[in-house]
Amino acid sequence: MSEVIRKGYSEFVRIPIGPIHPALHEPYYFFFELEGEEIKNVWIESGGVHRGMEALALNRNYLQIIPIAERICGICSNSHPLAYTMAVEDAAGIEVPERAQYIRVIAQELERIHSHILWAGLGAHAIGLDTAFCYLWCLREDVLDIWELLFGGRVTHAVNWIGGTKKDIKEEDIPKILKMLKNLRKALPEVVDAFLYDPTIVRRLRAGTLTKKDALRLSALGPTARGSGVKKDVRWGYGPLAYGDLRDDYGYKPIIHQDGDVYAKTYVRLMEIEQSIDIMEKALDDLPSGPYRAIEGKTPKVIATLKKVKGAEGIGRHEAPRGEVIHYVRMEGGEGPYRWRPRAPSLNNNFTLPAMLVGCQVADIPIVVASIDPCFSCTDRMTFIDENHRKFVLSYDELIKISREKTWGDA
Amino acid sequence: MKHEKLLEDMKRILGDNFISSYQKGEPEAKQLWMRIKKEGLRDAVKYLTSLGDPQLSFIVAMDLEKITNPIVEGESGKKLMLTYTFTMFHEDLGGEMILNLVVTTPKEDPVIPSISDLCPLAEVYEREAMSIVGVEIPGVEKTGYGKWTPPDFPEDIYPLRLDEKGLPDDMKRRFRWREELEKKKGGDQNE
Repeated sequence: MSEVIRKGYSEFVRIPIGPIHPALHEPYYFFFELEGEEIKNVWIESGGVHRGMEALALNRNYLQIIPIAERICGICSNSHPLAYTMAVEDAAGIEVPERAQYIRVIAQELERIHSHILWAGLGAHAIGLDTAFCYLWCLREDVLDIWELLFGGRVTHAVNWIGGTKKDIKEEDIPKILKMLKNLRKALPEVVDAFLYDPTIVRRLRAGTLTKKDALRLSALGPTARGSGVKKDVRWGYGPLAYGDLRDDYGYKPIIHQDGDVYAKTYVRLMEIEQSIDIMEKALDDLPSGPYRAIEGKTPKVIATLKKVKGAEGIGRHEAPRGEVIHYVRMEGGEGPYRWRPRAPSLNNNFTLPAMLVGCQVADIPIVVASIDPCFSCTDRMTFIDENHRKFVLSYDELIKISREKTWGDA
Repeated sequence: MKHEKLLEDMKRILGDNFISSYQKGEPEAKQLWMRIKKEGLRDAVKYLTSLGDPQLSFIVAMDLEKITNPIVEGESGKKLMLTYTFTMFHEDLGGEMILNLVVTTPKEDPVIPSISDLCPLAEVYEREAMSIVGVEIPGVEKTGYGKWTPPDFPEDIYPLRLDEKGLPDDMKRRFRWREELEKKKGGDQNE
């Protein structure tokens, strides 16, 4: 597949990688120009997956878009519906109750913890450290169990509802969350020690530098930007939901690292796990009482309320594990939005890859590509069971019950 | 306040190209929505560049064909609209804000200037706008990173256009279960 060409006095080798390749978790097409083992130039092409979600949303009502938004990404499956509901609330001028804001913060931080652990596992796998991969994914399993306990789904969580949340957090579930957080806090130093102080791993992570200038020029987001010293975190800068209160009360600020390489991004993510544990504990402690939905009533009432809003535009944004998720909604008085435009952070971050990869070795490609945590969707969930040639269709409630029984025994 | 100074400077720089603005969030604006003429777009982004690297969040492309409640007078009918969303003052904890520059263009002259030389990331979103609603942006190639329609997609069709250039019915995929459901619903109604 490689082609050797002569360019002036030097000899370049051109290698295409992707769209389907074991080192990539998404269908991307990279075209590398190499001199020996060193990368001299990179071209990227996207467009391997066309799901037409925005066009699909044109025929759906406001609430039917929430499950579509959840399926944009299997890992950020809370971030997208949250940004969408925030955009609708912004356009319609709906004030979200304080309790719902805190529940959303808890759900969002839970997602950040599981996503960063997942990333650390994949990063370890990319450099051949499969023991850490298995260990980290074992830790993540406990976080998924809490998702299941609180909201019913391990991959798609169905937390958000326009004007609040779909479900409330029960008092009796809080000790289980705190126990999981305590166990995670106990396990974290070992992970931090391995990633940030083991000389073999550190040497592998010292690649793919993105300078602060490039991060700003290319509008990098999330840990990709913060790893290059850019103090940009929607939670503490913009202060959506209850994040503004938590920042003012406890003095949270963005975690940054100046080096800009994979090590710096790893540092930011690992420290953010610890920060998220802290935020969750504080949010659970401060969880206010009261309603968790602004619009009481079921689907028809919510649609009827939103139908009255005409000629309004809104933006919903917050900090997902990979960076800023932003959604735009235009309302024109119909049952659904006139225009819905979601944007995942990976779109901005992918553009920073050429700046990081030039000058690296070929063997560094998997870890450098993985360092921006590019998104991939995996949303398999069983709703239909065929056992011994007999067919069982389980309802939503039954599925959740069986799932909880499996994980929590008599819960 | 920061947003007031920003607004004043924008009005001064844009002159007649400034149309209107409104803010969300009191007293300090969280969002600033600014309607400007397309002729002033580059001047506005140049000003943002002078404040530091403009952090472009995204560009939203929209067909205004079926708008019945325009936010600003004349913002409906056979026009296309682009909303450029920038993040400002991100280093200021609690003081970050969004600046939205809204530009419209008639469908018979769908040309909007490119800002990709001022803000490199814009090229991806400009290409998206070209593919999905048919805006013409000189200097931006239709193919490359961020090409949003498949390679064999017809030339003159734009998926999110709401007029005759939108997706024709024969290109929309119909699911068998949906047809069966509709048939069943129809049958129930007849009964």
